[in-house]
Amino acid sequence: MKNSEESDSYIIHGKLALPYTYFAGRTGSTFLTTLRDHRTIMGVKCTTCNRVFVPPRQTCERCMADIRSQWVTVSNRGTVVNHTVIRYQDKHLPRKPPFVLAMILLKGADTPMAHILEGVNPDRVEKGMEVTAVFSPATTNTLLDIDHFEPVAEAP
Amino acid sequence: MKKNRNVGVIGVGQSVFSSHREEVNQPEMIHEAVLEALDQAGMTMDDIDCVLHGNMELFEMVHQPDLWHTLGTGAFGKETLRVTTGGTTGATLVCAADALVASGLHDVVMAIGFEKLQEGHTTGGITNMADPLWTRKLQTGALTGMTATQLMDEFGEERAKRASMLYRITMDKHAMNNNKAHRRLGLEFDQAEDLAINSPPLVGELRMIHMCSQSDGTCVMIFASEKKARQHCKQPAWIKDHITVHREENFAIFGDAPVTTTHRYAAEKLFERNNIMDPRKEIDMMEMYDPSSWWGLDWLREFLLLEGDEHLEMVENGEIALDGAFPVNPSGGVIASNPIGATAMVRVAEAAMQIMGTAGDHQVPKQVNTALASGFGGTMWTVLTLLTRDLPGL
Amino acid sequence: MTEKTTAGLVADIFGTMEARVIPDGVDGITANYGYIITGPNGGKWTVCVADGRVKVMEDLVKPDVTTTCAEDDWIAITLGKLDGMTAFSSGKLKVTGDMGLLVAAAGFFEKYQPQPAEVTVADIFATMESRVNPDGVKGITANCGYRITGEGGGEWTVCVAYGKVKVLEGIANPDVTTTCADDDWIAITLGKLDGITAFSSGKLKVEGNLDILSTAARFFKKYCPPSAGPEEAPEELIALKQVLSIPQTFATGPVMGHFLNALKEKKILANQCPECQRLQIPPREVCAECVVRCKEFVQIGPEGIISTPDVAYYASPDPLTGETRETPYCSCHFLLDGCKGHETMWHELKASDIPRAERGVRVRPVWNDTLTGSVTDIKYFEIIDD
Repeated sequence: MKNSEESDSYIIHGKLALPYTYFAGRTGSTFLTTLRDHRTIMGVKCTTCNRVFVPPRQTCERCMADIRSQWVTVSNRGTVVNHTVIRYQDKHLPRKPPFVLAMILLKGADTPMAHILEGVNPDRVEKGMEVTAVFSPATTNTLLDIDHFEPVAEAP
Repeated sequence: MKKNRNVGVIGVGQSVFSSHREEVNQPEMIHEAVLEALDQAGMTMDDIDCVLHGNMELFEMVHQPDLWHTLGTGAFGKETLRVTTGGTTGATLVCAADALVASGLHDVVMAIGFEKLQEGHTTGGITNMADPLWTRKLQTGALTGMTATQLMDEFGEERAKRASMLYRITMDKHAMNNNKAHRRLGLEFDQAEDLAINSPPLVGELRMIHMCSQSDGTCVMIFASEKKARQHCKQPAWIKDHITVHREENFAIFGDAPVTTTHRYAAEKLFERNNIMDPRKEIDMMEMYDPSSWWGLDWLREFLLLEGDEHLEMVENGEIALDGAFPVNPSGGVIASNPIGATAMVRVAEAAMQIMGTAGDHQVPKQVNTALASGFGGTMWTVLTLLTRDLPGL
Repeated sequence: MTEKTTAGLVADIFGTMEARVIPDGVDGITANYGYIITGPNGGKWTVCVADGRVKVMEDLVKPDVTTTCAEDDWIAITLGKLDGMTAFSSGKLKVTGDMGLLVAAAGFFEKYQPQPAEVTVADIFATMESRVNPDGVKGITANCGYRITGEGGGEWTVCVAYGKVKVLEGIANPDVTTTCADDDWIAITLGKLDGITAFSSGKLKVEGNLDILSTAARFFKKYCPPSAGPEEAPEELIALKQVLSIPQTFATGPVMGHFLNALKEKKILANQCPECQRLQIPPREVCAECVVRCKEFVQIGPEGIISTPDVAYYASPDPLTGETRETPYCSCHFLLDGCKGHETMWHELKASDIPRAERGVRVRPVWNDTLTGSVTDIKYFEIIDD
């Protein structure tokens, strides 16, 4: 029997669909419920290297110190330390393009946190820009309980 | 196996194995075992040169999990490698760690195998190992009743069923001594008949009671060069040899022709090159990757190169019990605890602990000089690891 | 838990089911669930689910699945103190009939809340010795008499000395005696009525050394009614549920493509190793044993025999759709005509043929109406009747 290579090479479509449940753990749950119930952003401070981690973690991965009980409250305001503009569309993205993802260093934190930045023309975002958290009216028990960040209005 | 230098296991850490670990996320669960292994080896992360990380992505569907897990592994700023070979992942991690230390590339290597099966769908994940063009549609996860059918054909239904249940209850009795084990049911031998009838069937005569658990858990092992091992550990467990044997991905073992299993093939090669003539006498204990009590029973014959019904007799005579002549799975085995990416490593870890004398309540009473551990995965993949109390000659 | 409170508990669990139904949980399910609960307070019940409703009947009524369990274990499972799967695995809970139905049953009902058992004055005094607060009785030597009036009342003396407490029935040499109605005494103990208010309003009368009584408030740890659990709010641990669905496209390549294309013409092909001569089904580009390229295709079957049948009772998801498969189904290795040894083809056997699934029985493929060149072109194999 002859093997006609071209007509025999084709594409078939498949799908991979499986259910998952992820657990935030004790430290992550405290962070998320505080965000949700008190609109307060919490971090943990490593007592060895003095870094404040936001979001929090049980262990300082640099010192290996157990820092789970070293809670500190950080400000809902911070500054943009870096950013990028998402210009393509895909169903997993949280917003329609173009939108801005920024690294935001909250006052009192030592680690910047990635989040969506709105209320500013994507081409006008600048390093050092002061921004504040805008909380979501509905909860998803995720970091998106902060709906987005937006620039702090200039004082009149 | 040709080695540049000897490699010893000097520390083992295990999280508690359980189906409910809602209070920790993945890196936090891993961290528990990392701390225990460092403590046992008398080390800090500063002493570790390289971190190996392994699991199967589909069980948790996290791409590049070693990245996130740096929060718990201690790998920040260190050489890190990721290994994933299905069910054998944990055993392959041991092979990789052994190679890295024996070669002289690193003096101290930490290997981490983990899985958090509660977060995904285990059977669904395994089913997707199959070729998507043909067999994925037909795969039934890792469940099959074919071994049970074969054993009943060969030894009669009554004896085969009873032996597999004796094996199961022996494993549970072992697990009762291991406070890290996941399923500790408190089974008694007089329940054998009742369970063989009333436990719900999964596939053929493979019943729920026979089958391994789905667990969350982490296993961590620390491997060191001979010099470092002696500095940190009174009695390391030395890695004498290991062998990996694969078959093709589409099984090609069902039908009416005799089959040499990868288990028997691996054991024959391993024993031959280590001058082991009578494994039951020359090896002191075995920790086997036993996904079900039917497989555990059947594979005793393959790993120990037994003939006829010797493997059934070993189970019936209590030879495989903790205080028996040839203890098998003092940990309770995979039937008791199965965090898959860690599972094959737990086998080597248990064998190492038996040699080091650190197995606690599940330490076998006799001195263990030589121990064998098996890993299993995919479509009949075998990894065998041989560990010794005495320093192997190079 | 005291014996008194477990007596009606099993009956109460079943009795409250109709009121605890979760409509979404029972939606689309029609089945009768039988329960045989053994033990002195056990019994037989049938939970009938149909049209989004639940009716609980005594005795077994045409059950599709029957669960047998000892009463203590059943109570423990219902209250979440015993894991159902563990009970099942260890043989404490036995199931006959259609297992698959039980999986759905976990979502039928709101969690059972046991009715708080009636608090009695006798129980309050009976538990005092076990509730002693060591710091509260330190350095105190006193006999406190209690005269509780009403139907549930009685007389007791609480003797405190050397850091220990003994409760006696009757009044014995009291330094101070308290007289109170039974209902009021229960209300005070449960914290529903303030002791000082009761004293001020005359509900509680005291004779003797009043100072001793003011220290008595610290003698005991809080009284917990018999069946109420600890009152701490459960810890909130966040879980995020997601179904991750990824579209995929797979290239067949010329070898699998040739095999799959032939299915459209209802032909089953194998390819043959030029060295060991074995047939590969499905075909592989290279024989893994001989490590040589296999170019020759041969037509096999389509009829053959059952080689190794495997009947699955556990419902795993179909990975292509994520949907749960119907059970039982039979995954089967077939030896098609023209093949020998391990040259089997893996597919499914028709579900209704499962009872006759034995090695050597002759089978033929049943083709789908539309042929697309994929594994589903063959619906299943069926047994050929003579």
